[in-house]
Amino acid sequence: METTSGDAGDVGTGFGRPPATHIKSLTEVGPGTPMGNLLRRYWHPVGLGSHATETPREVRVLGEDLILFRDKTGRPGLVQARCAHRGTTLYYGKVEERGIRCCYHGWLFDVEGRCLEQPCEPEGGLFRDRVRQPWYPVQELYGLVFAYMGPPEKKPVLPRYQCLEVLDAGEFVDADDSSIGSGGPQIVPCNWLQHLENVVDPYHVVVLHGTHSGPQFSEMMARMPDEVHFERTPLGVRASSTRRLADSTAMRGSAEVALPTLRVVPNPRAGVAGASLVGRVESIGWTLPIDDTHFRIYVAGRVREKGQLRRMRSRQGGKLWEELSSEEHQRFPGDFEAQTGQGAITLHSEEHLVESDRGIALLRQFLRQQVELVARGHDPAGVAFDEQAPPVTFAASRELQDAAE
Amino acid sequence: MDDHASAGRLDVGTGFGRKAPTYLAALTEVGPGTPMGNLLRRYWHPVGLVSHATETPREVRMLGEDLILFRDKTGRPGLVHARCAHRGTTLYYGKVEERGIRCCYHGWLFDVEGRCLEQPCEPEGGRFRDRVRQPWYPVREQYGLVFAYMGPPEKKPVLPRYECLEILDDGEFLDADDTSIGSGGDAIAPCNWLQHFENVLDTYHVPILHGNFSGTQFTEVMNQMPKVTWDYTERGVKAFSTRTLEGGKLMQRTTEVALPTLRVVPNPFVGGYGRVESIGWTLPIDDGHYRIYTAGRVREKGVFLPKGAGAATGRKWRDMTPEERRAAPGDWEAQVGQGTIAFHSDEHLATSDQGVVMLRRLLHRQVGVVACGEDPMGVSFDAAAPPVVFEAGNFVVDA
Repeated sequence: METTSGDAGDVGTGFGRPPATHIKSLTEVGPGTPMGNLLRRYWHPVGLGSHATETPREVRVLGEDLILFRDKTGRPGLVQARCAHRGTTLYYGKVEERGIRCCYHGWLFDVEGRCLEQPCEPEGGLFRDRVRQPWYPVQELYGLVFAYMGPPEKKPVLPRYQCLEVLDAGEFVDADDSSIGSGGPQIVPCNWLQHLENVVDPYHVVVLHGTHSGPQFSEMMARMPDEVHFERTPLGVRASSTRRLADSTAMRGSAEVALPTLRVVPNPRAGVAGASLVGRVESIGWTLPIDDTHFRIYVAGRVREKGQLRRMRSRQGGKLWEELSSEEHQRFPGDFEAQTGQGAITLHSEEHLVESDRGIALLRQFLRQQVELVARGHDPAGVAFDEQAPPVTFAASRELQDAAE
Repeated sequence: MDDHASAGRLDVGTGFGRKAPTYLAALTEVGPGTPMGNLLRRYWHPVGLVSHATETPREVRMLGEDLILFRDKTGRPGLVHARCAHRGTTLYYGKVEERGIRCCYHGWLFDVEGRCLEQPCEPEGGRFRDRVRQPWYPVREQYGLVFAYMGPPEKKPVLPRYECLEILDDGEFLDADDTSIGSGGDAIAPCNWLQHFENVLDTYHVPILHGNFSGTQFTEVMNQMPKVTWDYTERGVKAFSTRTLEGGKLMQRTTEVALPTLRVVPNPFVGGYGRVESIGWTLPIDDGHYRIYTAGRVREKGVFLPKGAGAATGRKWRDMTPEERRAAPGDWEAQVGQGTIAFHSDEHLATSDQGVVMLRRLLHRQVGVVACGEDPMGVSFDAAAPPVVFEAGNFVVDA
């Protein structure tokens, strides 16, 4: 059967298209890249507090291979994986009172990379003070270990967030490393920006999570919002959607993206699985770029019982992502499928951004500005050096209002 | 032996210091904009069996491009780029509807020619949706296969018909296959397509690889060292070989390759004599992979190569262990063994490789013809053109 349109010739076929490209300055995160320089002006989570132990742990952050450990006095340490001596990985190191000892020739480094012992050297290493294992400062907060991988003279204070500082009665803060919100496994094989953009894309909720794969969140979220509003915030972009309800009230939900990689999203399964229907945002997710083509999400949130955070993970027909067959993944795609489906790094040259992508356009514009600020030697948004700075407040929430408003 | 005896003699021909090997990129690489890619994009290529185009989107990769094959609910097959034109997620997760395929992410609906019919998140369903076109390729169904044309639209040729698939003998019917009959192995072969294509004109490997080295892989008569001549045809190269049968008659066998990627090989198990029964399209998936789609006249569903008297009854490749495959290599092992893309700089072509040389020469010429803006051989714009006739077959003649 002929499906072509005959006389006029076939228009818009795949033939002869110029090579496709991605926007490097917004996606690539390695040392020395424009976005890598911007992100290195902030603290990033590198693990749960419980990940820093006497057993060295491999972590990869912003394209760098690192080892996280905790010396026997309780101090967490983060060092580059390659031993400064002849480069074997400190993953095989042994943690001691004073630091981590390399398996190969026994050099001992403290949590700040100082070389304390060189047992094969005359007199235990006459020149060991000249060696420094590259290291990064770490701090523990909200059950997470945060690292600062940027220029030392510009190290900011580790920010605090109102939604994690002010607890309602019966609440406490818990942390999770299962990449809640990725819609898939812990490590997602695509660029971090694809995920971040998804946060300010309220329209996909209706299609992907609403009609395409059946209601993945709630019936209400499956309805096209009556109103969507995008706005710039001091730290990023916020998207708000309003859905009118039958009783002349309206539900307004907003989610935001904030520098460096924060996803501030009210639980999308509001009203289901015991989650409350309204309220200020419960949690923050850090969309950590592992490297240019992988990310993971660390979450800290207010809970009333241990394990509550993980119940936010989406389910398809009652099944978690890893319980679905490949046929089910094809029939019922979610965030993981849509975002990894864009490729390891999406090809921006091939996109057609439209009206409903205003949030994405705003976010890219904002990130570009911040990348340029850093390139010119300025401090990017949200970087504070004042220990007394008040906690950061986000407007992200879900609230019931009069439809008339 | 005294080591010093050789001290005055230099070791000659060692592997040390050789130049980095190279391959003929112009004959092997098939991606968009490459010389061979441009040549191959002047023809129709099979992308799947007719039964592969369904309401469940199917990932297909051909000529280095990732595509999605589907069939809308009115029955029209469609082939589009995998990346949605909107924000690039793959249409593999799309949902097929009456009028086309709908992306899972924001619900854009595309018809089989890539027109954007709906943008449900946009004001008024997308006032500017006419400006968006999902890259697509025209497809047609024939011989149980779906064919696609991925070349310049203004040069789209007619989909050729072939006499050997048009004129059926009594009791015969047409069947199609996607298991890569003739690859000697799996459905997807991890090497360049040209290695397979050249093998078709390499008549002399038959008595060695298939006749002697691994025992009889075809039949006793095929084990004989043949007399071979090669010739150009209107659309490729043919190899003509003669072997002596018991009783003094001669078996004459012609195999052909034809542009774009056709292997026209009579049954090597010689289930009977006569004109060639089937055509195989050696589809380049990308530079490092190919697969073969076959259409042929059969008398029994799925039986494309019925075995004649004295034919080998070996184990199937899939059932063999790596050790058995090492001990009894076939086409798969020999061709994949040449590497992902064979290094032409390190070859030593000899007299018996004449067919290979002729094929490369012809392909070089055709690549040049296309680069000069002309039409390559076998491309026809005449819908009334008669079916293509091949000489290929196994025939018995008096000495």
